[in-house]
Amino acid sequence: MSLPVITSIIFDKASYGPGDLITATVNYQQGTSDVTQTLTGTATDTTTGQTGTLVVSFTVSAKDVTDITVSDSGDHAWTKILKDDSKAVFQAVA
Amino acid sequence: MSTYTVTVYARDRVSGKTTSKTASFSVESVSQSQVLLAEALAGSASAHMLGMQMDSRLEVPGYATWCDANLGHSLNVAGLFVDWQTTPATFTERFHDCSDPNGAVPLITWEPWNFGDTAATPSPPSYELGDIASGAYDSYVDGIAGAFAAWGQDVILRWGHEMNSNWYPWGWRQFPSIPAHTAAYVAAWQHIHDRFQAAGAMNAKWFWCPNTIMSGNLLGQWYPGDEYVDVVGLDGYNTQAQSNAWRTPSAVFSASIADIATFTSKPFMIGEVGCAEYAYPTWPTTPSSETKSSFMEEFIDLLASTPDAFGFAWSEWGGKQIETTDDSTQAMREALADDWASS
Repeated sequence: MSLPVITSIIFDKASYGPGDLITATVNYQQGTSDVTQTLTGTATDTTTGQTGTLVVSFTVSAKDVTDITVSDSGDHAWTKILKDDSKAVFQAVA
Repeated sequence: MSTYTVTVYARDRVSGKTTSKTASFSVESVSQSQVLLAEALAGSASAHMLGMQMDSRLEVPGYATWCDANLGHSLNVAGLFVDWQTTPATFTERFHDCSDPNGAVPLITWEPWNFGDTAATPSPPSYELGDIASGAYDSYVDGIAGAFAAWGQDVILRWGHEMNSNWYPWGWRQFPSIPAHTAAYVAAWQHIHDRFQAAGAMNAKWFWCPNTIMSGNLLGQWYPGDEYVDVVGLDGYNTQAQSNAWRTPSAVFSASIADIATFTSKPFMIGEVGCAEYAYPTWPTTPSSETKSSFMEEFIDLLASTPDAFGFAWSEWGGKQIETTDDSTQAMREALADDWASS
């Protein structure tokens, strides 16, 4: 399995005036979970009706759902305006 | 400039594990005085600004401290004077001089002459209003506009003040008639204003400031128009200490305030005001009960009752200062507390 990774945080401006709208774009990679699956194979002799069974396990790496949140040292109120599998966009008022 | 640290958290819902990353952004700092000016320009009736006109940039830090300690009110507007030879770099220095001590809004009086010229000479004046309006000084004006734009924060710009007087070269004295003068003055004002707009210097807040009505000449003749003006106001003094012609604040200002109200409702401030120490009805015997202190109290009352008034700049020179006596300082302190707090 792997944890989600935040690859970058990008602001739309270098600095803001009071009251300006701040837009921050967060690029990230979703985490994955290793899910063990079991595959059972069964063979049946149609004459005798006897069966033989083989159980095989395998692992599936599945993408996890990732929650993205933001806070800052100035306690600005951040609003999430977009999120997909690799990017989230937040806005706050400077 | 304030810098904030942003922390982004990515939480995996399945495992519950979280990772994070930080980044930072900056927000420009704006002083309380800048906020008050913005509120005043937006029409707020609760923005009450205290200003001072000073002889020297070196006085600003001392007065900023003194106002807090002795008047119980911040120095919100710091006024300095420059002439038509002042360079863009010096303008920028004056912005710093005014705002660095405590965030006061610079009030820059920009005079189209050379300091040291006398009012009547040279004649014609060093800088003709008609030449300014026709673009002869555009390269200079553009340089100053660039200094404003680079500064970014609001500056109250008082160009060619007391234009209705006869003691400055940009006043009507040099012109054959007042209509000829008003046309030239308004054209010069509008031209400089437009150059600033073209340069992106929207932070220049244009302060149109005649002297109080002189010789019955109404003030609207010199008005460039609401689209060219952010703040209107007046200069007026009570200097008649050695006669019985003591003038109350109402006698100094009310007729002119009423005149201005007939042609604009722009935010209003007093650009210069000062008062002698005492009235002497029978000079030079004992002064009457009318003093600078009573003038101050009445002045603040008058301003507080004037629609659209948000500020004044007291002239700190020539014996007309606020602080010439303990009584006058105390009177201003009480008047500000009673009627001129900012909320």
